[in-house]
Amino acid sequence: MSRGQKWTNRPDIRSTSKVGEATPTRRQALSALAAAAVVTLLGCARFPSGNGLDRMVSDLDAALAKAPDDAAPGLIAISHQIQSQARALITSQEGFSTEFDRLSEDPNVSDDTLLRLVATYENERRTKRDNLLDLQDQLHASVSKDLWPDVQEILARKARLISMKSSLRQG
Amino acid sequence: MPVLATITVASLLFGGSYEKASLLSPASLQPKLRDILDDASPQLQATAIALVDHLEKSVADYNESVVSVLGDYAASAMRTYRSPATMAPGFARLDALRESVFSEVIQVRRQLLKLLGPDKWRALFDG
Repeated sequence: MSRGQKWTNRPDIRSTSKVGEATPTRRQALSALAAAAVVTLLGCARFPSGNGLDRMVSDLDAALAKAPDDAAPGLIAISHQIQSQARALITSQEGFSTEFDRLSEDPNVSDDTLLRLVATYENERRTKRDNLLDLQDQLHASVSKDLWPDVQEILARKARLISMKSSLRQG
Repeated sequence: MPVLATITVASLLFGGSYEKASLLSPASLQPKLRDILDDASPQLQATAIALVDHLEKSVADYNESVVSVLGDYAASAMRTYRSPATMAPGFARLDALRESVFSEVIQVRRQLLKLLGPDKWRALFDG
C-alpha cells in the first residue's frame, strides 16, 4: 500500500467522538493533543533532553485519561504510538549523529561507507516520519471538526515553544 | 558533538528548522575557521574558507526549502485541516535535496580533514 493510500484510507472515527464544550478539562486534553500533534509535525526536532518528551507524554496521558468521552481510549492509543515513534526518531537521530561524526574523522573510512550509513539512516527516518504523519491524521480524525481550530491555535503556540526549546542556540 | 554535524543533521531533519535557520548563516563557522587557520598559508585559508562557505550555503538552501514547504502547509492548515498526504510532493523534493546535501557534507568534511589535519579538523567541528 502506498503512503497516499494509507493516509486517505484511514477510517474516520470522528463519528464515535463526543467531544463537546471546551471545559477546562477538555481544554487541557486539547492542549495535550496539540502537543502530540506538534511532535508529529516536528518529527525529528531535537529536544534538549529526553525529559521534555517524557514530561509531555506524561501530561498527555494524564489529560487523555480524564477525557470524559468514548474517544479517550482511542486517543490514548494514538498518544502511545506517537510517543513510541517520536522516541525512536530521536534515538535513531542521536545514534546516527554519533556514528556519522565518528566515521567522518577517520581517514581510513571511505566515502561510500559514509554514504551507506546515511542511506540506511534516511530510510529509517522516512519510515518513522511517515508513520508520525499517519498518526497525525488519526489524531485529527479523533477530535471533532468544530474543535479543530482550537487545537490548531494551541498547536501553533506549542510549536513555537518546542521550536524555541529545541533550538541549537539553547546550547 | 561536532558543530557542523549538529547543524547539518539537525537542520536536515524536518521540522524545528525555523529557529535553526539563523544558525546557518555563512558567519557561523567562519570566525572559528579563521582562528584555527591564523598561522596557515593564505592559500590554505582561502581553500578552507571556500569549502566551509559552500557547505553552509548548501545547508542554508535546504533549510529555506524546509521553511517554505512546512510554512506553506502550516499557513493553509491554520484555515482548514490538510492531511499530511498533501505534503508528499514537498517531502519528496526535500528528501532528494537532503540526499544531495548529505553528499556535499561528506565530501567537504573529508576534504577539510585532508586539508587541516585531524587536530585542526576536530578544533573546527567540536562544539
